[in-house]
Amino acid sequence: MSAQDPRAELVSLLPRLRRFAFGLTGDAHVADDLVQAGCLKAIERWHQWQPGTSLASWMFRILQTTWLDEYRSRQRQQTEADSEALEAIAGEDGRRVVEARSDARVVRRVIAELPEEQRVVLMMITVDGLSYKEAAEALGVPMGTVMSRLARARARLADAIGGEGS
Amino acid sequence: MKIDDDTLIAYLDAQLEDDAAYEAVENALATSPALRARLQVLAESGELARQAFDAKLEEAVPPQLIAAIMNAPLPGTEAGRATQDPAQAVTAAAVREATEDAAAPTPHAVRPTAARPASPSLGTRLAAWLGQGFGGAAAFASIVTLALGALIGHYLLPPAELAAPLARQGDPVRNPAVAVALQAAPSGLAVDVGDARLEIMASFTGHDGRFCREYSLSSPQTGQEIGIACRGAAADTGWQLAFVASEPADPAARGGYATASDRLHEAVDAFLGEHIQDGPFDAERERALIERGWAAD
Repeated sequence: MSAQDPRAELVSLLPRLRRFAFGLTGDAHVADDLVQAGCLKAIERWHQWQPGTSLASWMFRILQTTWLDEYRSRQRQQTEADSEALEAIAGEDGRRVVEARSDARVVRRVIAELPEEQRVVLMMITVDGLSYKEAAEALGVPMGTVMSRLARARARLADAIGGEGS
Repeated sequence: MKIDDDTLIAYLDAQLEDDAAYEAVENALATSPALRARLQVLAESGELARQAFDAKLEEAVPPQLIAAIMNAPLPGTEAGRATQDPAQAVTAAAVREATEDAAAPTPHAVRPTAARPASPSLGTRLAAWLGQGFGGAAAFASIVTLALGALIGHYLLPPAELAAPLARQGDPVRNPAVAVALQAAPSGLAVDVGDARLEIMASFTGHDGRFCREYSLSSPQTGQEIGIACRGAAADTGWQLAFVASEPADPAARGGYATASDRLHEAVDAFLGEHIQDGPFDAERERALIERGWAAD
């Protein structure tokens, strides 16, 4: 009975869920609120999860839709103000981004500025390690769509922090 | 053949369709320095993206988040209703009744349920003691053990750090497995952390008014540690060691978990005798404190 208890399954996934939500929201507190809301939602709808499929993918989907539906509009004003401030800092000297490329905050800022659909696939695949198929299932889009979003995200990331050589 | 970014990324992600596709990429890489440079840039930036979020994966999960999930009702199942509120009270009461020392209401009244070599899980033992009618309590115990076990296993530390031989009174609790258990685990449940076993034994109010919990950590490698950690009621205070005593593993006890010697227990008892206000909390009070993160009433 307890081997399939959703609460135990979800708690063991928490570190990955928190990381994903942090990438999605760009804010640690909002991320934890989102993870809690998403987990409670998942427990209510546990019957919809198909055993044998990836629970992480299913949870990422719930987190993403919860974020879209309930959180982002509340956060939008705040986030826009933040990214304007960040742009002002980065805009002073484009080279600073390259020079500080080992700084995790700079990398996260570049990721935070990606369009949301690209940011999500980057977090799922590059950061979390889902397969393209799992990511496509989680997002309900074809694999080709996942690949092109990922390629655009990776190209931007590479241009911003990928090295001095190019 | 022209290799584009999509293909290079899929190559890095090990997501190409078949061996022929990998071969095609490798042949192209062998003859094109520009392609190799692009691969390197993509690989490095991907690695930086991962590293930028590494800390999040290793950070301790807030115990309130764990508690909120573990306390969520399961919709529409018998087990869900049974595990909602009375379960934990039944659990801890059963632990006390099941001990032979039930008359003495000290934290050590629960000692007999602590780690023993190859002991069955508490859930299993509870099911045996209580019979079928209390399946909910057993289920709750296993859920908590499983959930915390899975999470705490994530914090697996080298044995030397796990035993924290340098931990001293007044130090904050640094072992994340212990910190999570102190914050979220009910007394009486043992959790395996690597080769060690961690158990929260009791909760009580210390003489200075702080909430305190007694834990034991035992491992065949590093021996036995018994500690009492206390925290203030403010949300931003963590657990601090009010008392800690340890002893090395007993070489005679091959395999299995070490059990604390009388000397260790006497030291803890002496400390408790001076520092405990009233008796240990009953399960209901303890559960209420866990649910609100040990904030004041």
